Amino acid sequence: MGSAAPSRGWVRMVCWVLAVAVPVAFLAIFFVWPVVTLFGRGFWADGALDLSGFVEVFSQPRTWRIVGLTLAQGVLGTVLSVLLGVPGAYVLYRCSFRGQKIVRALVTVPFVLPTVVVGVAFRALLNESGPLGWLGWDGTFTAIIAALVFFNYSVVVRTVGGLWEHLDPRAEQAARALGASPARAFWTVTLPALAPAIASAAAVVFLFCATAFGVVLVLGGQRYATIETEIWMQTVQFLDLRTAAVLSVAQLVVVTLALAVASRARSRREHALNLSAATRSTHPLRRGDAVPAVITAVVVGLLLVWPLANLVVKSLRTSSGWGLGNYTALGTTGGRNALTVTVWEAAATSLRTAAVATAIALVVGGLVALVVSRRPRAPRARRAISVMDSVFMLPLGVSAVTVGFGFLITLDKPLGLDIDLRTSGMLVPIAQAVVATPLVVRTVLPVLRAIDPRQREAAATLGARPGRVLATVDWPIAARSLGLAIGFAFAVSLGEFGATSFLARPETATLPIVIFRLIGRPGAENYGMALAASVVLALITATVMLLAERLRGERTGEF
Amino acid sequence: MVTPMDQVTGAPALPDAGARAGTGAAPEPRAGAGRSAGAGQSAGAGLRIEDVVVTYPAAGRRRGEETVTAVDHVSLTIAPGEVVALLGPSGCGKSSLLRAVAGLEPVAGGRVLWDGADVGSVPVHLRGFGLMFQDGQLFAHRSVGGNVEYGLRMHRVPKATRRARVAELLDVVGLPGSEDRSVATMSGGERQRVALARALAPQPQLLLLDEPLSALDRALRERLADDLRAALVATGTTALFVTHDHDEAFTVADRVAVMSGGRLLQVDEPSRLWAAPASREVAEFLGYQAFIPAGEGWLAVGPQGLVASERGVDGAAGVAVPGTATPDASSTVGAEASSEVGVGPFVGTVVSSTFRRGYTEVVVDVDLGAGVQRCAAVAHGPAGWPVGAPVTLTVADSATVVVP
Repeated sequence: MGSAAPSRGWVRMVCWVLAVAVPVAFLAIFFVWPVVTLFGRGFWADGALDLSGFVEVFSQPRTWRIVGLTLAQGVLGTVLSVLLGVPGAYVLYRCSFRGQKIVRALVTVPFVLPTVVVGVAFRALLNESGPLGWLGWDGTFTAIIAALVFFNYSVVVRTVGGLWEHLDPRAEQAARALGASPARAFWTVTLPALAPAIASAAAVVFLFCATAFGVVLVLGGQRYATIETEIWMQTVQFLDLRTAAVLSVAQLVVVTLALAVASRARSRREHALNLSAATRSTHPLRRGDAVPAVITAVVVGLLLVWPLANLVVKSLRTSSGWGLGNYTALGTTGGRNALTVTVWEAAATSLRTAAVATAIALVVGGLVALVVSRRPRAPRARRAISVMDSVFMLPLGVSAVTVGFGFLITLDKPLGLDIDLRTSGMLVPIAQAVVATPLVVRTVLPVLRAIDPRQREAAATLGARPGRVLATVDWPIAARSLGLAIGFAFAVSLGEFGATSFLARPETATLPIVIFRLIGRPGAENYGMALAASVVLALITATVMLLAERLRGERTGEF
Repeated sequence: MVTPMDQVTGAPALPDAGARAGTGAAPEPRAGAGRSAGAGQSAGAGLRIEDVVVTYPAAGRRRGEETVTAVDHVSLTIAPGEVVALLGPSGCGKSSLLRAVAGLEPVAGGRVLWDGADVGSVPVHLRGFGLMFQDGQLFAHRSVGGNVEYGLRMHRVPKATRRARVAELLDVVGLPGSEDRSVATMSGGERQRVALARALAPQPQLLLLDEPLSALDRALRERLADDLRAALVATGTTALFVTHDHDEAFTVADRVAVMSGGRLLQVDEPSRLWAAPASREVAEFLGYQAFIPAGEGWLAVGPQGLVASERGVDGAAGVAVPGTATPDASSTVGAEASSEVGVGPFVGTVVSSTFRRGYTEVVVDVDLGAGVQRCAAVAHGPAGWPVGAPVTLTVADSATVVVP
């Protein structure tokens, strides 16, 4: 070994430095810098800190109404999602019945559906011509909440169900043997065990609900503003950067709090998962499961399936009766030339953009997950890693609108270089990658963290050098989560609306942008095209997710 | 799992443990050199642990400045081909010492030498020390064969050789022909056998075993301890073996090192260790239970060295109990035995009595000369001794040793 070992150690050092530097540089240039610059526009006036904007914005009753509405939307959406999702998790992950696989897949679909599609689907259900038009919910707060629950139901079911599936049933059996009724045993044993997963899911759902953009914009119109839509309004409509910056900071505070709760809950959950890794127990549906089974059936049938089925049905309805007219119109630019490109061209742009964004997010997110999954000995390095872990979650919380607008004002000459990124067409995929990276990290990281460190030690004592340990222990296990990570990243990019709405030029519009433009234009023809385009986007997204699940392969075993 | 020596390539035939130390004529590998599989046993100085200290940052401390000393200036030498057990209660630092030798924990003081060369700066994968964990840590994404050949792959052993070696080792551990099985389908005992084969495959110059049998049930543990001994002897492997189980240590090891509180208390062959514990602490840990003051030190009484008999009305010892059911409380039960030792009989109070395999264990409170202590005495016949009744205790001299 002699001289070989030190030089090898040096190479290893360089590799790790790169693994840290690449994602950090990416985040710094494409997230921190634009966002901070945008904030700066709000607080720096004539070279001095100027906080009068805060006072001004928060002295307006409109601001408080918007903040209140945002919080109400977050809380209501979260509570309803959890209340409906926990019985769903039980029925779908703790019981067994015929067709369970299909229902589970069905429940997953809404989570990856583009927000614009969901907005359009609920509108098609609730407007005057829709089957639920008589409720008069079109354009109301209730409609927004229903759509948010539609979205986030699957988050709760998957997160809670994933833990519940592996929960050792013997703890509950012990409680029953000690004289607890089924309800008592659930309240005193099972629910506390699930609490970390529920808290973690609730925090994430709150985040999604409080920062929802596309759904609120499509369903609420001008009447129901949240902080997120208000930031968009202030920047795009009124060009009031100061107000937008103040609101962005306010949102960041709310989001950071939610993320802190989520991260605490998550670390507890990973711990809990370690304790009961291999157990699994389900039982066939029985009489006692009637209540959760009925709740789940109603939610899946009415809340999840109906809006989507209705969307498909309505898309087949043209002014001249039933037919594929709306779909053939996708080859046009819409009534009265509502669009610059045809919908099919936009779909191609969407796919191209999403592919690039996914590649970027995989590299950056994969490196982050790899670095953050290490457990170095030095306390300082451990702290640095935990900081990195939190920092890369920030894009989840900062308004995508903020990111998009920040790009516009900073990336004309990035780092003083004479290239205008705004015209290169790279901005949209980069912005989408910024949004998708946290999801990649969150998909891959738990898998890497769940690897027993002694597996790596065993490999090392068998003669594997650090690179080989990565290749033979970490990689085979992490690779299985990669398919899912690709699916999530691709789906998020396909549906990304907030940042893209700023950055996409008319000739490079993506599907969500085109759909939003179509529903904003008058004419039954444009509306029908929006419906058909929504179906197309939903189908593309669902196909991508299915393929991604396939990528995971049929391998079974412990992981 | 009786293993013919000739099944194992490169292993010198070693007829018995006594003759093992110092044998082995294979070429000596440089310490820390990346060993290729197939290198033979070392004829060098073996492992030398010199004054090693291992510390951990105190858990949960905010500043992380304070440290906990897990291993406190321990020195130990293992001759080539020798199997040494580190025996101690959980938390005594034995696993930390093992990990330090493997290179998985940094050494805060002292040195670890192999064949006289300091391996402190040699990374784990180049030390050529194998390690077997308590729960095996098999790679779930690889088959049994894939697990066993892992170390050989790392050493770039050609495929044909690899295959032969894997088959051979699976034979050694009693799982012939199971190359293609998935490790997920194996029982705990089978997994540990695979883990042993995996650790032995690259022919490590030193094999470190961290409680390799503790996760198994008792009967399996006893059987596997014999198998483990056989496999280590068959392959002529130098091994350091961590356990908290005396029987396991005595079965597997040539010498046993007793550790407590991070320090090494005594190192000796099992029989000598049992015959001459170096201190009361060692004796207590080995299972000596009653301590009678004797001059400067103590007369330690073995697990079945106290014999209980019902106390007669006149205060004399009762009738000697016939029969010889236990090895230690041998035929010399009764008052005569105590006269030979020169202590006792003592009078105690019955706390409880339980029937064990072939004898009754009577738990008594008794003052043996240094205050009342609780001991377990043996008696013949059924349980059901009246609680609180007085009982006469005699000491079987064959079960006692004097400790300082």
